[in-house]
Amino acid sequence: MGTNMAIQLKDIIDLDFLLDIDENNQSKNNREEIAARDRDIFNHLDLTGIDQTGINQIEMDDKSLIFSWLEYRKLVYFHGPGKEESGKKESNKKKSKRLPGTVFASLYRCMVYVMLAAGGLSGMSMAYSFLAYHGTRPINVGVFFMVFILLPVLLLALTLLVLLVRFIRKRTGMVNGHNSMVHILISFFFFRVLPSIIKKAGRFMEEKKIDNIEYASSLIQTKSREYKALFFFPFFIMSSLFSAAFSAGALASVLFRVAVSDMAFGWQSTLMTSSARLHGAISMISLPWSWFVPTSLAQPNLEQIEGSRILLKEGIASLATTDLVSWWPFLCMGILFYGVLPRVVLIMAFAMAQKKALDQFDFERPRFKRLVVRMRSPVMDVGFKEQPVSQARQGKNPLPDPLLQDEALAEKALEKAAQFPGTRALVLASGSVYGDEALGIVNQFINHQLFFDVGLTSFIFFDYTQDKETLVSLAAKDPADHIIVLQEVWQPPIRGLLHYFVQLKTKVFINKSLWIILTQTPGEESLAVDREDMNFKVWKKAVRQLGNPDIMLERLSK
Amino acid sequence: MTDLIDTGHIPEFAVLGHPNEGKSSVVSTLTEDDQIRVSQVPGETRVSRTYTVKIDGKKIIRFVDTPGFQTPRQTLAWFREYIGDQEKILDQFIDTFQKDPFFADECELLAPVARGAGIIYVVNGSRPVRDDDIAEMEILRLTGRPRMAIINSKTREKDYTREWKQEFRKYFNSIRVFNSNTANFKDRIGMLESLKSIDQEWEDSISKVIQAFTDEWQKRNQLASAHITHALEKSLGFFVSEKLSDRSDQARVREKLNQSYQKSIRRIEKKMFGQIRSLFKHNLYEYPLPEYSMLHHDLFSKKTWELLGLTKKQLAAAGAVVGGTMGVVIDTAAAGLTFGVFTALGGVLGAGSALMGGKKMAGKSRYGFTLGGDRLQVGPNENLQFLYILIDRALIYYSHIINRAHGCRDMGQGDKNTSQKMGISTGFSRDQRNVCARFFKSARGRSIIREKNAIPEFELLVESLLDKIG
Repeated sequence: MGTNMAIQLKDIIDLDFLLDIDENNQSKNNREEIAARDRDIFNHLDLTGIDQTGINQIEMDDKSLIFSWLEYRKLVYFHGPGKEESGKKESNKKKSKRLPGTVFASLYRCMVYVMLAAGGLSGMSMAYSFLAYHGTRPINVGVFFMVFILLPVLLLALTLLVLLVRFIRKRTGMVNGHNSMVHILISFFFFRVLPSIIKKAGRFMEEKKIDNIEYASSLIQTKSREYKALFFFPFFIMSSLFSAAFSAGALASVLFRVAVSDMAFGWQSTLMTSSARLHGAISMISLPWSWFVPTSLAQPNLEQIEGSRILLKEGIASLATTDLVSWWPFLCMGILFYGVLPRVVLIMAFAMAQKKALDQFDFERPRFKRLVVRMRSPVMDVGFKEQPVSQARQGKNPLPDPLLQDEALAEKALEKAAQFPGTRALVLASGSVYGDEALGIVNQFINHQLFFDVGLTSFIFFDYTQDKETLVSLAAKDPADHIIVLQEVWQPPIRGLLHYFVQLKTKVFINKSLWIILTQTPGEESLAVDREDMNFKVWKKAVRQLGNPDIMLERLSK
Repeated sequence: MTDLIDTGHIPEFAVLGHPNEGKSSVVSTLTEDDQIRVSQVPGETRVSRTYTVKIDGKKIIRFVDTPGFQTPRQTLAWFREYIGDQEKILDQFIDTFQKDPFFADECELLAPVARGAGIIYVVNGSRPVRDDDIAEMEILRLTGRPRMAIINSKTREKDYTREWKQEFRKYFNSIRVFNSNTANFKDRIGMLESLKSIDQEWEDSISKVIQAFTDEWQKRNQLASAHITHALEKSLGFFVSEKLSDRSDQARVREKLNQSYQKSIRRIEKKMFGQIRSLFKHNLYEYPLPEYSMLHHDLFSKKTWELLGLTKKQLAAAGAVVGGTMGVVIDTAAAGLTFGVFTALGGVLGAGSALMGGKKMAGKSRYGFTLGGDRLQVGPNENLQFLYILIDRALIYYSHIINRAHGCRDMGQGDKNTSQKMGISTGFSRDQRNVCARFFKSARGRSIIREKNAIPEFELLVESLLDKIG
């Protein structure tokens, strides 16, 4: 869908404000909420529209998307749940909330009225006092012309010159322009004066509004460089409004004076002695209106000009009243055509230029792009739930046939067992894991560290059903006091394995001590297990929990 | 795209294995959820956890993190003795043992398989195959469910991958080596592709899941690119200023402003890094940079400016582009009547200033000048190299983040092979450097209307670089 909506400066300020709120809410939960909210807004939008031909369906463009988002956020801001923005529950006070854009817009409107009033009043009062005539000396047309017609024309020319310079700089790529006089003035007015007015205005407002007023003020100040281009035309609109109002006020004063009092206008000059030359100049000046206004009103004729010339040494008594009053229509037309109308045209042009500038506002900037991506892309999230299947979790010892539950007793048993060195030991190991070399090292360790004599060494499968026969026959033929089972330390002490050890101890080697010796994997650098090895600690805990003092754990050390 | 995903029947995979093989890490990496508990101690997972990946609230795939096998041999013995309908073997097992604490974990881990989930069997490739593993594989074979094996290479010291692969061929439809510590997006997609092949029924839905993951990745890259562009734009246009009074010590104020300028730029960069990190869902753990990372050096350190950015020669050419571009505009405005004089002049000036900037790049490259004699300003940075340093650091950070898997919790576990010893920007083509130059000009001017295309163009460039790195 194309964007035909009119963008206003206040919308851009509000957009900035609401995006800032999101950017400052960057904790994980908030971020996810924001992404879900933006996607939700997108999902609720009617994304298709009809193009200008009225036939083809078109998709909503990014700009429209952003504005739809803004509309929604504004709505939520005023009427949404209490947790929006500040997190406070303040739904009953929503009506008192004002977005910074709205604050700015109302202040801008106030400024427009102030400019109109100030311009109009100053023009009126200045012209009124200027036109004070007491019958002794006619109003000097030359001075009046300079102040109320020529000066506005010069200011107008200056404005056009500034615009021309800006245009050329823009075209030639001399884009900076931060230090130009106009930008200094704009910065001063919009980024210093206006924010301070906003702040001062805030003092008289309700507490709730102050945050936003502060924001509008700081936004204007901190983003002055970014937003300067958008404030360029409003500045000129303001100054033109003042000028137009000034001229209109002056015109009103002249008409009022003419209507209610006796006026006399005359001219004098030391340089210009010929009335014909002045008439020529006046004819040129009155060209904009002389073609449609009756000649008698458009400008004074040669005789009237001659008749209104003031020669101080001769006084004004000799001058005809008809000649002295013949100037006012010309002066009024001058103010209207050189003071009021050009400014009105300029204001309209500035308003159009401002609209164009706003239309050109770059919605492809990264921060807006992020919003668009957030809206257009599906939200991916991962949620989890736990639903235990087994009904036999809590409290029960998962191993059948526990012998002892007292850990202290188990500790004592470990100490006791170490007091019987030199007794005969039977070594059981997995045949697929421990080769001759590894067994040699282990046997050495058993002899030197545990002080046991290794008798038989047998290979087992760690599966009681499978090993039962071998184990029973071993128990019968080997009078070993200690049964040593070799175990790789990294293998977790799973329940099945622990159960196997308990079965060995309780079903086959009932009166013998069972030693679980932990080693590293044979074939690797060393078989020794470090005291701080995490897996060793896990095994220690698991064997201790068996609660059987005759099942002991040792690690192979260097 | 998401409309096509069937909300009722979605692919479900139970991640099974011996305790402490990295099942939770695999799930964490697959779902990109770094909040999944991953422990060094075996047997920490006691209850199955179902992780459902949703797109716009629609469920697309489920992964079940299960406890490890505790009684594989005893379970296998029961399976072998089972006489009855083979399709109901799992239901029967659960019915029989669900009140028996001895088989509690087995009931827990086989339940998702019983309700139809596919099997992802995870083993640690750095340890050898043992009998318990064979028992587990046999149990899984007897379930008759589609299954895939993953060799999770947890450490680099030992590698039994060949041995595992040999064994797996007897039991599994598909085998994949997957390092949950270093797996990146490509690895994740590769794994999902493998899942497609284990059961034809899932092919369509998993294709859609892959599409959804790819779209999600693209979205993140777009957002990352926007974050980077925004931060760079902010950094390049940033300045600080202070009013000078008659009693101010200019040198001191200049130094203070310089410090404040650098601090703010670092803050902007840090914020951008944080945004990238959370985009790629590394939320819970503060991401420690790999030991070898260039980013350990400060943004304004000599080392950073030596190793990142463009070479002096490239910088001179790039500087010529900045000046030259301006000249071209004048020429165009003058309808070519100047015969490129402005282009040449602009080029020479640009090259000169860039070279000078290059020489003093690690030192005080910021400018301090007075405005009307009573304000001192530092920044915006005039040195084009600054842009390239910032780009390089952002890209390096991105590269670290996307190569850090969600299952990885250890410091310095990243793959050192992905090290960016040199800046990525040195490999930029001339066109890419032109885009950067235009962005540099635009960002410093910070107009919202002029050079409208410079920022989107740069953003696209960053996005393409991210795609390339990813």
